[in-house]
Amino acid sequence: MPTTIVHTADLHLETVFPDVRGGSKRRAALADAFERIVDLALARRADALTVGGDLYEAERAGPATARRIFAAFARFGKPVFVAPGNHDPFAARSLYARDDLPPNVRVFADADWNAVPLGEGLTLYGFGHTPAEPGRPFAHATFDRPGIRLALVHGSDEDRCPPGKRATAPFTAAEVRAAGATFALTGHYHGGSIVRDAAGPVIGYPGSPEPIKFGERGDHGVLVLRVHAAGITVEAVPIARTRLIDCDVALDGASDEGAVITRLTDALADYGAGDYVRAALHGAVEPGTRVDRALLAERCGTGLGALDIVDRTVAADYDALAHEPNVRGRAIAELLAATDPDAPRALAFVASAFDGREIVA
Amino acid sequence: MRLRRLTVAGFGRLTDRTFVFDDGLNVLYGPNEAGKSTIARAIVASLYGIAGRGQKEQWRPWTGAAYATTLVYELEDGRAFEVQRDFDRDAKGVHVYDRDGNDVAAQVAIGKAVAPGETHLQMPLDAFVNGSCVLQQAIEIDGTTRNGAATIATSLARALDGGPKEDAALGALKRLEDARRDHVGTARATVNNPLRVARETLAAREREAEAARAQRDALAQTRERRATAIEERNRLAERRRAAEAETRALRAAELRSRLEDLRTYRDDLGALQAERARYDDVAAFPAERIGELDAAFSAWQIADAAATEAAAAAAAASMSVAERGELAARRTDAGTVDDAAFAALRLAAEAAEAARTTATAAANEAAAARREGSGGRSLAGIALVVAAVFGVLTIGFAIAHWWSFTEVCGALAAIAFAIVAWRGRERAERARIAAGKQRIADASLTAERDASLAVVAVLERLGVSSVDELARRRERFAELLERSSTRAAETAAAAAVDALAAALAGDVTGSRTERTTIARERAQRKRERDGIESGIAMLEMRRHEILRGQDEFALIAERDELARAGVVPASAGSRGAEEALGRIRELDRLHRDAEMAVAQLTGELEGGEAAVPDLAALEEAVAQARAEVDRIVALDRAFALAIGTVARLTHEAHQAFARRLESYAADALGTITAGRYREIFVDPATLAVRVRVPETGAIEDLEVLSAGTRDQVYLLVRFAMTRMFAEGLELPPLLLDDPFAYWDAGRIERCLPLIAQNAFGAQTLLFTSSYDLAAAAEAVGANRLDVAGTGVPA
Repeated sequence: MPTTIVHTADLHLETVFPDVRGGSKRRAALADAFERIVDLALARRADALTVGGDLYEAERAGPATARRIFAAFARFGKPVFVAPGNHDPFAARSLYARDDLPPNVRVFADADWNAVPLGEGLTLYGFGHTPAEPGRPFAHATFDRPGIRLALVHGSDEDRCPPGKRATAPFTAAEVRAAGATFALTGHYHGGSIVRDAAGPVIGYPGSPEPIKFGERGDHGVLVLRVHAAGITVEAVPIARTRLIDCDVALDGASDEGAVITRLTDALADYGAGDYVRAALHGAVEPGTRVDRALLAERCGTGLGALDIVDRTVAADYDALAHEPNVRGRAIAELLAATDPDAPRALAFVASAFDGREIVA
Repeated sequence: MRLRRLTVAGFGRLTDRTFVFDDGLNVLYGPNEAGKSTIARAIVASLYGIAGRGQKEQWRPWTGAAYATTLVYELEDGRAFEVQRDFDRDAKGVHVYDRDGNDVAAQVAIGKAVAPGETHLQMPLDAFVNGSCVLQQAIEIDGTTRNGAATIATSLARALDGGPKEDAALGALKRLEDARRDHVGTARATVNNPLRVARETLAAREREAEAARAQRDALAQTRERRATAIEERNRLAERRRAAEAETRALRAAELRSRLEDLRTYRDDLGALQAERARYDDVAAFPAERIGELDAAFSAWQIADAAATEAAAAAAAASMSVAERGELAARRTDAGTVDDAAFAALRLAAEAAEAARTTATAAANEAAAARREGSGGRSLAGIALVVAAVFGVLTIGFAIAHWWSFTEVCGALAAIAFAIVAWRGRERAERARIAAGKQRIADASLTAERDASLAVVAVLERLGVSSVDELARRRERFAELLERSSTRAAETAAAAAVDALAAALAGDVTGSRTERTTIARERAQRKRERDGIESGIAMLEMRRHEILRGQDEFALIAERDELARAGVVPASAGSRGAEEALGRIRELDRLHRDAEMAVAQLTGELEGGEAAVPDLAALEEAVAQARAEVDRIVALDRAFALAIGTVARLTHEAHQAFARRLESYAADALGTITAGRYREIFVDPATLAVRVRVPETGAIEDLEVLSAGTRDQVYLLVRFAMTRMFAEGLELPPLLLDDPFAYWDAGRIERCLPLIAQNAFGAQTLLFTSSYDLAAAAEAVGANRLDVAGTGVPA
């Protein structure tokens, strides 16, 4: 009788989205995804649910978060194993330390490996984060129980760390194998992936069930692990219902605000309520063309989850103006050459000011 | 740049006209409305194009001819170009051919616009129009306007600063400052201050988030306290369970002990009951009467001894006949008075005696009082006589008017009367006392008489003379009576003993002593049996103590149940069980307290947790407020950078330009003003032009000069500007559209040589409707072109 395990991680309940509108809706989407994961686990008749850390963000989690999580765990009813991550480390006041934690939930509260037999020939090793830096979890680990040995940990596969992502509890596939683990159920990277080596799958990131930040690559779902006599199989199951989309909108030649709205509307035509779009406007618009980000977001974002506008348009031929043998030319040339991060905006202000146009901030 | 030929297919009022220009000064003469300004505009339009639909329509040919021009020019480096423009086709209608006939329009295009003027002169339209062109009599007097034309300072600014707006850099700076004020605010602004509002909003959001965080942390502390309380409660419950187990063990031990006690009780009871059976023969013996028998037996023994002794005494001295008679006599007198009556009688006799004594004493005292009262009667009589004598003498002397004797005798009479009165009162008092004593004596005598009568009555009835006699008779009676009653007492005592002995040992024969002895033995056995009964009763009490109102079977069932539950009886006794029960009660109390604490904290938690705000939403609001502050601060930095850059470059440009312009213009100023003015000054900030007035030596605004002089100065400034803009570049042609309308002939005469000499090296096109000026220019070597085609004045 094979054992089925549903693995999730990085829900980041109670996270904040300061970089995009619709934070409340996105948090609700994360909570909804959590419920769908439990639904999936029940539908697949999973024997256990594992959480690879960052289930919530401790800075903002409160009683309501605990109620939601515990209710979902209780609804699942079968064993739940949680390896706290760097955002939800186990501490005296963490939600995992509450006395109303459902009895079917086991939290790996130590920054060390603890083994839990899940059945004959199947052992789950768990490693939890605490507020202290955990170091390299697999560096000195030895998994020697007979049969399949699963490692549940929140950490970074050093060989596949996304750009700009902070590494925590780093490890490599070689370390996982050297420790004796059959497969590492992990979390930390929001883009899901399954790492395989010659012996088969070795590391699995389910990804965050819903995208958290723009630019995350990979799947957003859960891993369904089947452990049978011959070994393990890993299936990535999508869960996400929202998307974070970066969208470039060329506004070259747009001569008025209506034209800008038309082009932006056309660019957003394929997106819907589950899409959170960051539209970058670029190109040279006619001088005097108003590009008001707040107005555009309001006018064009009604059918979307949220719309944010990044204005990179230029309302003048700066290169041409820079050649003028006058103050405007010299000012524009100087600002074009400046490395000051405020120079592009100052450049637009100068051009508008000399042209006598409204300076749109 | 040298303009060679302008061919106009159609432009404004001009149609199908060609103008050929020379180097140096070209004077284009024509009356008003002949098209001079149109030529100037056509040249500018050929070089730079026409921007905007309004401008384009303004210069559309009146005749409906093709809206096109062709301009041929040469550059300093010898290159020549022909610009053909079809204005109806905009950029597509522009061709720029080089000397070899190649269309180089693409090479002179800037963006979508084809502007060979800008490319070849390296001067934007603004600079060209404001520097090289004086259109429509537009040389301006600084500080005033004429026909809405731009001022020279404005022209300078537009040329120097760039941009389509007349206020150029200064205007741009103002717009930047205004925008900064609108979008950022200023430090002092209280109404429109977005940055301050954003910071206040941020602070408010931060306070809200901090409060929510504190609320959450407080709840966490409450939860910790609740966990501690729960732990304490559970610990107490555990202790209670242990105490309860101990109690059950002690209960089992107690049950075992009690059941063992019951078994011991039963053994003891059996032994006592067997012992008691040995005394069943005395079971009904009335042992309680044995005391009575003993008392009777003792009394009998005493009576018997006394009777025996009396018998012996009687035998030795039996009562005589006289004594028997006396006994009979005494039985009739003394024997009739019992002890109480005799005591009363004796008291009555004593009272009579006492009354008699009192009466005698009182009578004596009354007699004494009466004697004392009669003792002073002589003194009172003498005093009365004396008083009477002196009273008479007083009256006599008074009649004789012997007043001295009268007074003496009067005084003596008064004294004598006083003595009489005093003795009288004293006698009355003594009489009263004597009367009182007499009453007491009388009363005592009465009492004495009554008591004596009572005693006498008794004594007379008995025939006794006195109470003492009666007492002696009573003693004798008692003595005689005792001697006569001893044997009877012995007999009565013996009967009593026999009756009791018959009751107690009726089955026994023998002497009174033997029967009494057997009765006593039986009584002893009965007491022993009663002791056994008491032991049995004690055992019964012990049974009650063991069972304590419970049923033995219930105890056995409870013991067996505990045994089945695996409870091992403790070694401690019931005292340990009591202590354990006390501990349980204390633990129950502590457990209840802990339970209440848990319930209270749970209530606090449930109430508090239901009211915790959405911290993520609050922090997001904080982040958004912070982003807004950052955005405005970034805006402020951008505005500061823009303003600083423009202000600095403006200052630098104006400063340099002003100094150089002064230098350029200074030499020519003396020439055109006939040496009157030689120093020219340009304000770097406003580009206002001033001159030093020789008469006062002061630097004055041009307003103080005549209109013609001002125009001369500004024309000079135009020339200088053109020269300066073209430094190191292609020198543009000067287009002067009737600039001297207000000049007098002398001034024109002084200026023309300057223009004609091409002082600044520029080709000059002078448009004028003044025949004299045209003639004068021609006279100094200018190439004259008649715009109207007549060549002569009307």
